Amino acid sequence: MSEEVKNPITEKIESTKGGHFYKEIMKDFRIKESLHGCLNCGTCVANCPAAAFYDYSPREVCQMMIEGDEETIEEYMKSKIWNCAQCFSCKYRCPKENSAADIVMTMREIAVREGLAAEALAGYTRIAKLVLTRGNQLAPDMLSPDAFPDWGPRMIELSSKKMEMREELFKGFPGMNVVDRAWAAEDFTIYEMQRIWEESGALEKVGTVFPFLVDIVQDDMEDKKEEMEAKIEAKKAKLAAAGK
Amino acid sequence: MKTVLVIGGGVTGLKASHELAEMGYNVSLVEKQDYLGGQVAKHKYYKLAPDMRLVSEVLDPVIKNVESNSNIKVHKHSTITALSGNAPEFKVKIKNSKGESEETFGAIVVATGFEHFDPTVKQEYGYSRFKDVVTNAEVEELLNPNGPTKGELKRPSDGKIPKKVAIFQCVGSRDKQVGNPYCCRVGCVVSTKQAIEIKEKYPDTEVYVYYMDMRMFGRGWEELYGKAMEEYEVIFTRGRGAEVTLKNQQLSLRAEETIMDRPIQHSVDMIILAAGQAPGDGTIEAAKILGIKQNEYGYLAPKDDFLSPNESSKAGIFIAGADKGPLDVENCIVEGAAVAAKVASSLK
Ligand SMILES: Cc1cc2nc3c(=O)[nH]c(=O)nc-3n(C[C@H](O)[C@H](O)[C@H](O)COP(=O)(O)OP(=O)(O)OC[C@H]3O[C@@H](n4cnc5c(N)ncnc54)[C@H](O)[C@@H]3O)c2cc1C
Ligand code: SF4
Ligand code: SF4
Ligand code: SF4
Repeated sequence: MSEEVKNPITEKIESTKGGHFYKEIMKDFRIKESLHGCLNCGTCVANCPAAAFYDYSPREVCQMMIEGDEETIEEYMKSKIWNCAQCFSCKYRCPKENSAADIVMTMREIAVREGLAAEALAGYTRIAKLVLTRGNQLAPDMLSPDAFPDWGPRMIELSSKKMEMREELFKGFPGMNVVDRAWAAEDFTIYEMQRIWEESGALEKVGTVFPFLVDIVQDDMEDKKEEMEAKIEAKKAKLAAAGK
Repeated sequence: MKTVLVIGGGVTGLKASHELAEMGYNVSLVEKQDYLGGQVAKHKYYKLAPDMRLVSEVLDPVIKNVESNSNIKVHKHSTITALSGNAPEFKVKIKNSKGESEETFGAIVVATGFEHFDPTVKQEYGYSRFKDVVTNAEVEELLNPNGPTKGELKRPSDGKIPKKVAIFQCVGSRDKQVGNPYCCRVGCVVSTKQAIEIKEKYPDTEVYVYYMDMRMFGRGWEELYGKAMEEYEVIFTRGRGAEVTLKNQQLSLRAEETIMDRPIQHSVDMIILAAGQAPGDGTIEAAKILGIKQNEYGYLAPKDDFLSPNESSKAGIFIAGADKGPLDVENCIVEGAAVAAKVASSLK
């Protein structure tokens, strides 16, 4: 008796198009403007900085959304789409006027909302914390020569005298004379910013990826609350007096 | 009225004029240049795909048939400036350097052809910024023994023969970014022809064609494509040319090898842009003066693409050739004959 031979060719099984994530993405107003069929020409990939360095392809993003396979879409939402630099080169070169950039932006928002992003974004915890507690995240300190080898040998020279350069460049702007952040925002500015996040629902969204950061921010706000709310009231009164 | 005005002295207009004259009509052929033969003559095409026949074998007899026929009056360096009246009694003003005159015609044939797409708009290809990025029309002239380089493919920057040539397909065609979503219909066969001509002359030069689809639907075209791969080792890479930069004085292109799923950079000595076809100013101007319909891209629109392909939107005015949309020489000649028959039946 001969054994049954398994067909080694992948069988294209029944389309899973129309799944939950697919529908959520297609429902977004941006998709209509971003996908008009695809020539598979590779122009987007050839211009894509992310495709040059990672296992990522804007062409694949477009093809995937055309095919609409739910499993693949979910896989992408968890990992690959987070490689895109959101530079929009693909959009301005595509001969079909597609925009992988907009598709990725939409998918990211939905991934966050649907709880698919936590793992991909874990590496950004520190950056998110800096933004939420300081108002900015990029700092001259981060621009160390070993982090950006492609910036060339002059970076080594420059990075050794960051503080001197900043002092020279930003004379008279005290908030700029720091190297552990881009600029030192005032406590009041940070408080206002945090309130905007809280009231707009942005903080809650961040919480779906970084739950503990919500506590950190809320504690931070609580500590300053009395003093800052008083300042806000004073500011309101001043504006009212000026008739604005 | 047995008089017909033919506007445009490319292959289409020449063929139409000759056929009409043979049927006994008096033809006035108006051509704005001081030579006949249209784009084929203007860019000194040397060989014609797919048979690699010398252009002179085809164009010379077509021109001779017109110039030697006493029923045809050729007005070179002339254009039309005004139209009045209706079929079958049109009054047309014809202008040349000596002045303007009015003549009466029973019918009008428009065969004003196309212009090459100007790739300067596609800034990422560096045409007109980098000397060695050239168009396929410029290459026609370079490969012609009677052309500026006596048939040598001397690259413009330093006159050297390139060792590596890349050809970009679909430049200004199939591209919504420039407003031309249509296919140029001849770019694929023309590039294949040019690749073979280059390999025939310089077997050591590597020729790469960056394409999306090789559209080889004409007589003998697919076979020519096969020959380019099998006999001449032209390398066809499936991916659209995306960008050209200059690195250390050398051209560097970017594309994706879509079959291999990888973005690449490729250093070459010369890049040929297979620039598509666009309706020329002459066609647009003629349409305005005659008051006939153009399609969304500016080409002349037939009354009915299937049922009356050579009739314009206006009775008594007929259209043929590459002014209706991209077309190859062989089919332009067919169009010239077809339009002549249609004119004859309308005037009898
Ligand atoms: C680079 C290149 C290579 C090619 N090689 C091949 C090939 O190998 N084989 C092939 O089959 N096809 C080839 N083709 C296609 C070929 O060029 C066209 O099929 C052909 O030239 C079209 O002929 P036509 O008479 O319709 O138009 P045209 O050749 O454009 O002639 C139109 C004529 O009308 C004149 N005109 C325009 N407006 C006016 C006006 N208002 N008043 C008076 N005169 C006017 C113009 O000056 C011109 O002389 C090639 C095309 C390109 C771009
Ligand atoms: S926006 Fe994203 S996908 Fe598009 S080119 Fe930039 S990195 Fe690539
Ligand atoms: S550039 Fe546009 S058409 Fe070409 S592969 Fe990318 S998405 Fe598809
Ligand atoms: S004929 Fe070939 S080069 Fe021209 S647009 Fe069509 S596919 Fe592109």
